[in-house]
Amino acid sequence: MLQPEQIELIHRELDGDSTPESSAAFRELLLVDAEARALAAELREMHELLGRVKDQAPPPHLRNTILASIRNFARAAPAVAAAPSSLQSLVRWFTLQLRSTTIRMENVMLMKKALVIGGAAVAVIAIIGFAVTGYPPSGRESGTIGGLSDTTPVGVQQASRYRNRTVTERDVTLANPEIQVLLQNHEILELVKSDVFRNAMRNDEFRALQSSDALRQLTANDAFKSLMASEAYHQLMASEAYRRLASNDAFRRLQASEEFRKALASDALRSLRGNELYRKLEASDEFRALRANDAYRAVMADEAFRQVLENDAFRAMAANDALRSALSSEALRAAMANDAFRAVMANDAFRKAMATDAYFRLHAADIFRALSRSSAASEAFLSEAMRAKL
Amino acid sequence: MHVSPVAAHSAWAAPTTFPTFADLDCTLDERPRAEDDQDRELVRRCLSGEQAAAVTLVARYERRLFNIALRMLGNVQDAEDVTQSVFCNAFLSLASYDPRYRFFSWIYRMTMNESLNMLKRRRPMVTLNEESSIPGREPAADAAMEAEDRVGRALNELNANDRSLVVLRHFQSLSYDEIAEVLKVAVPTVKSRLFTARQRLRLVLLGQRV
Repeated sequence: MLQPEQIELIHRELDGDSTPESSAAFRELLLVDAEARALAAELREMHELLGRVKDQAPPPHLRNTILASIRNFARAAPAVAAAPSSLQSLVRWFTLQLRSTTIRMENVMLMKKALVIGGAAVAVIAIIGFAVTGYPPSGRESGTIGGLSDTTPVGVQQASRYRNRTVTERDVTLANPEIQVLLQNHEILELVKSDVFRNAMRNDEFRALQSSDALRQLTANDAFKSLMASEAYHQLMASEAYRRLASNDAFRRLQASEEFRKALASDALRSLRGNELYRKLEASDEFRALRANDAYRAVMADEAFRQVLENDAFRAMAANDALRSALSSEALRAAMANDAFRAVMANDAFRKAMATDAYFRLHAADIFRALSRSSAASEAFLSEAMRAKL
Repeated sequence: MHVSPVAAHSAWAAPTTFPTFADLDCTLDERPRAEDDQDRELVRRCLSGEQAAAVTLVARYERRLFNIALRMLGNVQDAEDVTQSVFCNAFLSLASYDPRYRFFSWIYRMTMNESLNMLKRRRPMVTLNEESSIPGREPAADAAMEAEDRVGRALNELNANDRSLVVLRHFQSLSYDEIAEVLKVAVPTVKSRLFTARQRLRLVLLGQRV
């Protein structure tokens, strides 16, 4: 039986790492030990076999893809670095994530590959599209609520008018013209009467988000409004691929996962790629399942999705201080981290409701925001809706 | 470690003469220092915004990093992803590169780490597909293909740590010192792990013949 030091002697000789003395010892060993000879011969053959394996040339497109990535990063990096030091938590993470993943995704698209990082881009859009705004954009729809019209950008122009107003149960009657406007809309009324909406409105966190300053700040943001009004974003949200993804179990599990929640809530997140929490997120079963999912792949390959990532409004939104501030708000973070809120978001029926224009119009109405602050007023509103006829 | 007696493997029978391996191209030559100096200069120029320097740096390392990732992962598409990701991360954090250390060890380590992360991520999933895996996974047509096929399959049977040592030593021809620098371990540790990894690889290759 060869001793470890004898085996090492053979390896070192093989590697050309021998001294004259060790080479002499090696030759001596081979002369006297058959097992050493056998091992040396086997290892030599193995070295020769390994030597026959040649480098492979990288695919021709790889270099251009890498250089394009680097150029994009060079554009994005200074802005990220210049982010205010006070935005060290979700803001910074979102900023970097939005910018970096957008850039990465462009390159991924070039390679027609679905990198795991793409999941983050989809997740961010999903957060904005669902968790934050709670509706698919419908910038081209005319509306009768809250001053919306064909020429009015999506958002809530009149939000400030009601900012400090306290809506009581007494305000919520069919006699109230604002309530009347809401409940005269067939789609809104249908939505409000639905079980899923009524249940959601009885959830404090859900209502808190509807009435939060963060959401108002977000929806009043020009970059956000531009994005919401963009055709690409509209197409993405309306696309079958995105709808399939949004209703996909793996995607929902990811959004509901502890890792995702921690990643969103962490103050320590400064860099997407180097962050341990993000790595855990990437390694989570939910993320892996998502990557393997057809719906996810469909979104990755979706033209509308690509257009959103390339959309100037999307990029502007990612770089916008006010938006970052909104995204960093405690209310928004708390809502997204809240179990009850996530349960609402995971509800199939509610997802369907959120996909309607009625939800968007209702949400854009100032009176609705105001009444959302009060459990009693909300309950009164639901009761009024039940009394109204479709 | 147990060493299989030659009698059990007649195909590996000892030669009648005992080479000193001087004929094998496997000496532990250090990388030319000039190359490291060039790397540092390229990094400096990159940081000053010179795009041509970035192109040169990518051209210098693209093939090497791609092949490290390819041998680690056994999959062309994953190797592309890792290579791209490493370059992106490297350029994103180029300012943090400390020129007292050699650039190659910095970026090789990133490649190793990214490859290991990729392996961890895909562990429960079947990711190899016939289109994207290393050519030669199908029945080999000639000697080179056979070598590719055998080595590729054998590497896949090694654990990631063993594989990284074999890849750096045999496919990147790094010295013990350089491997130690890349993996951030002591040189004696590199030696002992490399020898063990090779013993394991040898046994896997022998097993392929049975």
